Amino acid sequence: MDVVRATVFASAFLLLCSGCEDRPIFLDGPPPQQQPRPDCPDGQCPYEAVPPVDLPPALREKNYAGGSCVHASMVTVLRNQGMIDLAAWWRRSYAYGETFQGFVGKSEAAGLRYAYTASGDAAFLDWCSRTRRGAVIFYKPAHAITFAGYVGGNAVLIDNNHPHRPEYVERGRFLQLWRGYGGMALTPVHSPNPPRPWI
Amino acid sequence: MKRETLLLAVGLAAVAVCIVLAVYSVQMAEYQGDRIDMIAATTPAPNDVPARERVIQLPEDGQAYHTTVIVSANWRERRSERYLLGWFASHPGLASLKAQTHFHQYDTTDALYKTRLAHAVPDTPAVVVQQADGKVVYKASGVNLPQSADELAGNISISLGGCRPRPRPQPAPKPDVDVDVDVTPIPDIAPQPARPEFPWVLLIVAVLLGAALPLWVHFRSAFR
Repeated sequence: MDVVRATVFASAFLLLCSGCEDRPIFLDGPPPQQQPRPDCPDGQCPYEAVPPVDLPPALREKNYAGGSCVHASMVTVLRNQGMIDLAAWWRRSYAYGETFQGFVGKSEAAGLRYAYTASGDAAFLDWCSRTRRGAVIFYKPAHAITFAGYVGGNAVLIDNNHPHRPEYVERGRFLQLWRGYGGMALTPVHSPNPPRPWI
Repeated sequence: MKRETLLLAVGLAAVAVCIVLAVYSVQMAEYQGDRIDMIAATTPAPNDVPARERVIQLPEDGQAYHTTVIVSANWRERRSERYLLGWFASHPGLASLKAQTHFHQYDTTDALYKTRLAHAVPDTPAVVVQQADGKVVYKASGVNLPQSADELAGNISISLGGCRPRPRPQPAPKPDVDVDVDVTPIPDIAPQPARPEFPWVLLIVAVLLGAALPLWVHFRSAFR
């Protein structure tokens, strides 16, 4: 009878084990370092000419309160990173002129994840373009605009004084001018909006 | 025939059934798990910086995939859409997908949905998984949306399994595309998984063998 009992226990144990399909479908933990991938390996991307910051005109904030270029640019960048509510709060909370130091302080006070450069680091803007996050840059005399990334060797700039008409400036020339204006840029570090879908 | 012999026969047959079920379960787990390895290997976490901390190491997530869930404007009143959103928090596979990709949630009133996605994804609720360049690798919407988290995760897993790097083709002129033109609706891309067949033959053979062995031993000893 011991053999029978042992068999029954073994059956129950195996029956329990057979129901344990708990292998995770997706790997846990940080994924390995990704390798650079050539863009559009099939040459089929229909939106290669679309700037990395691809925000509809309606979501590009126009300069307001007689001169709030830093904050208007920030509202645009926040919307590009999916933070619609925070952008609305920023729009309500801040206006008028702003120094870069004050801008960094407001970003810190808002609890943002953010990154910035104040030394004209071109690699920072490369990263902002590569990750489609864009940035607020101090550009033109006493002015700030939105850097929308690089396309075809040109920097795409959204000036909040005419946000419906992006400006294209050759990358080398743009960097030279940007550094001449102080080389300052800041961006939140959140998820950029999804790209335009295609199949 | 002794009662013990009969119980033993039944017990061994049950063991055989359990072994077959266990083997089948392992096969199913591998079938679901192996498909997703590559996306996990090529997609970094989008935001791996703790909140309120100055960013020092910038995340290189420019090639990360995007997962977008689109629900209707009154999704809070629709149980199925609430469940759909909940799956991405509660289902291990979908939660992991959410963590490893840029995750977005829109309802049909969002300006970005109306201007950038509505033409391609007109039906809700919808789940869209895109490569970094925008190519849709999985899309299911409306009545085609899977009815369970397991099924959704399995279908996405299979779709992502097909996203293997392809060799660069011969140079070709770039398409002349008006970037302001919205795309036409994208059909749902929900592959039917090739599930492993349940091993019925193996099950029958195992049951027969498991039951026959003690009976054979019993009759052999009885006729001696």
